Formats: sequence, C-alpha cells, structure tokens
Amino acid sequence: MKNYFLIILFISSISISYAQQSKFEKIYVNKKKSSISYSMKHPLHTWNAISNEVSSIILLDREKMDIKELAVVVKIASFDSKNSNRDSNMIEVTEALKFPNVSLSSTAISQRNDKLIVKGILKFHGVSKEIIFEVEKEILKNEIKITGDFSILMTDFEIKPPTLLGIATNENIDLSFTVFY
Amino acid sequence: MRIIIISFFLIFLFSSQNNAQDLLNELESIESNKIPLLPGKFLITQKIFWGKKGLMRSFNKFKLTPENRQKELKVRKSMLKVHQYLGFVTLGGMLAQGIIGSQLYTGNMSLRNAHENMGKVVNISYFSTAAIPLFSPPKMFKERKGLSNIKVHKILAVIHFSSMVATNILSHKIDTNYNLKRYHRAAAYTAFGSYAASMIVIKF
Repeated sequence: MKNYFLIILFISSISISYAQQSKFEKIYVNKKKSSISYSMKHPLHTWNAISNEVSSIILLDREKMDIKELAVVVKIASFDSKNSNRDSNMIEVTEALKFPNVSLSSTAISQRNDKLIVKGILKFHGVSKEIIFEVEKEILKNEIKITGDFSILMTDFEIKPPTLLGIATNENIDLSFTVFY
Repeated sequence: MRIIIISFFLIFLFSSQNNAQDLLNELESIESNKIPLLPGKFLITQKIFWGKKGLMRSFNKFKLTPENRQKELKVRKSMLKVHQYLGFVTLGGMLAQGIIGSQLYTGNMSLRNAHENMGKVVNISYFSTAAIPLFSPPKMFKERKGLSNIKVHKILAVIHFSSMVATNILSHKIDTNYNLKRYHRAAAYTAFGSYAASMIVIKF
C-alpha cells in the first residue's frame, strides 16, 4: 500500500512539474537588435562602451506574457569604447582572460504593470552578488523588448578602479541595456 | 517514509525553481570563452619581443597562455604609467629648455652650456618616454574604427618625434651655419607644441 502511494506521489509530482514547464516557453535573444552598454567616469572625462554580443534566454509564460526567468551572459571583451587601449585596460583590470563573462541569472521576477522588478545574481570578476533592478517590458508585434539600467560598484566585485594620469576613475559602473526576444 | 516524502518535495522544488541557473548554464555552454590573446595588428617593435614567436616567448614566464597574457597586461599597464610620468618630466624639461633657448636668442650667451646640458637631459628623457610604448607588450585589440584620442595622440607623436630629430640635427649644424638657428627654434617649438597637445588630448 505504501509503495502504491509513493508511486502515485512520484508520478503526480513529475506531472505537475512537467505541466508547469510546458506552460512556459524558452525564448532566445535577438542578438542583431540587442545591446548592453556601460558608462564610467574619470575626473577628466566620461566614456561609454557598447556590446552587441548579448546572449540571453527568458522563460515566458505564454498565457500571461509574463517573464518568469531570465539569464544573460556578455563577454567583457565584446565591449567597444572606440578606444582599444581603454578596452584593453578593462580586460586587465577585470581579469577578463580569467573571468571572460559577466552573467546574470534571475532569482525572482515580479511584474508591476509593464515594469518588472528583477532580483538576480550578477557574476562579475568571479564574484557573485545579488542585485535588484527595474526593467521596462514592451510587447511588440512579434517580439518582446526589455530596457533598463542599473549601477554596480567595482569594489563590490573586488575590482580596483583603473587610473589615468595617476587619478582613479569613479568606482561606479552604470549599465544600460535594450534587449529584444 | 518521511524522508522519502521530503526528498520528493525537494526534488520537485529544485526542478521548478532552478530554471534561471539552467538557462545560464545553457548560455555559458553555447558561448565560447576563447579570446584571441594577441591583436590582429600591432607594432613591429612589439612583435619582435611579444609576437607569437617573439624573443620573450622563449622564456617560460612569457609563453603565450591566458594566465601569462594577463600578467603581460599588468606589465604593459606599469610601463604605460612610467610613460605618463616620464612624459610630464620631459614636458617640464622642454619648457625649461625653451626659456633658456629664448635667452640665448636675445644674446645671453652665458647660458649656452646650460642649453646644451638641458638638451641632453631632454633628449634622454624624451627618447626613453617614446621607447616605452614601442617595446611594451601589445594591447588586446587592434585599433578601433574612427577617430579617438589615442589615434590623435599617435598622430601627434609622429609630428613631435620628427621635430625632435630635426631640432637635434639642426642644433649641430648651427655651429657651421648660424642662419639655421631660426629653423632650429621652429623645429623645437613644433616639438614642444605637438608634445604638449599629445598629452592634453589624452584627457578627452
């Protein structure tokens, strides 16, 4: 009797789990249209760098058009600030030959009208840290567009701010993104 | 029995909540982590030492591996810092030399030795500053498209380097042909102006 109960419990757990999974659709990023950029400040100047090589997947609830899960990976080497010396310096300070990617995986996503509050783990320079940021979601004809921005502190990820002419940059990195799925 | 039920629920919980990590794992397995260790194009002076078969590659410490290349980038950063600081010293020397030189042109010949000695100091400092980036390990990427402050810095470097060489050649020729002194002065001013501009442009 016990055994029958266990088998039924097992099958029902698997079925519920499968039913939940099949409700969601895995959607990949449109790399051609998506980009992520960062901005940094030095007392002498400010600069931006952009990456058009965003890899991302969302898990979408097709019925409600809600994003349930989100994962993003960007190669640090793909950021272009129009100055190869500066980009090379970023590879050095972030040790991108050892830790080539910045990644984000959501831990909780809550919907507030067209805005999403994303809680997730950002992994950068081999250090994982929980972050929370707001994302704007737009349902277009055949795609979903999400835009947003957030800031991180280099020192939170054990990165020493780079210097120019002996003066260190501000330790803030402001990130903004436009991603299409 | 209780343990079995708890295990079921834990498996169930993990299978439904760990999706973002699964998605991330999927992305990381697709993405190649390989970054080219050397840029497609870099200076021949750097290639001699730091190219794929450069002289430094015969030492184990400088074999072309991601770990060593990471250390090389640190070496490059340190060398470029010295380049910056020595650049300021050279600029100061050039300014002092300009002041002494202009005194000579007003007829104060007692400063001739000081001008010659300062010339030697500026030359040593200038050519040392110039040599550092030429022989430093290369950066990670080739030049980006379009105009950037670093490109302008390099264009100005060609101008001040040529002017410095001309200033030195003319300084020797003045002894036999005094009429060349105005060209010497013009070359020196061009060297100073383009050198100062090449430093200022880094600010942008």
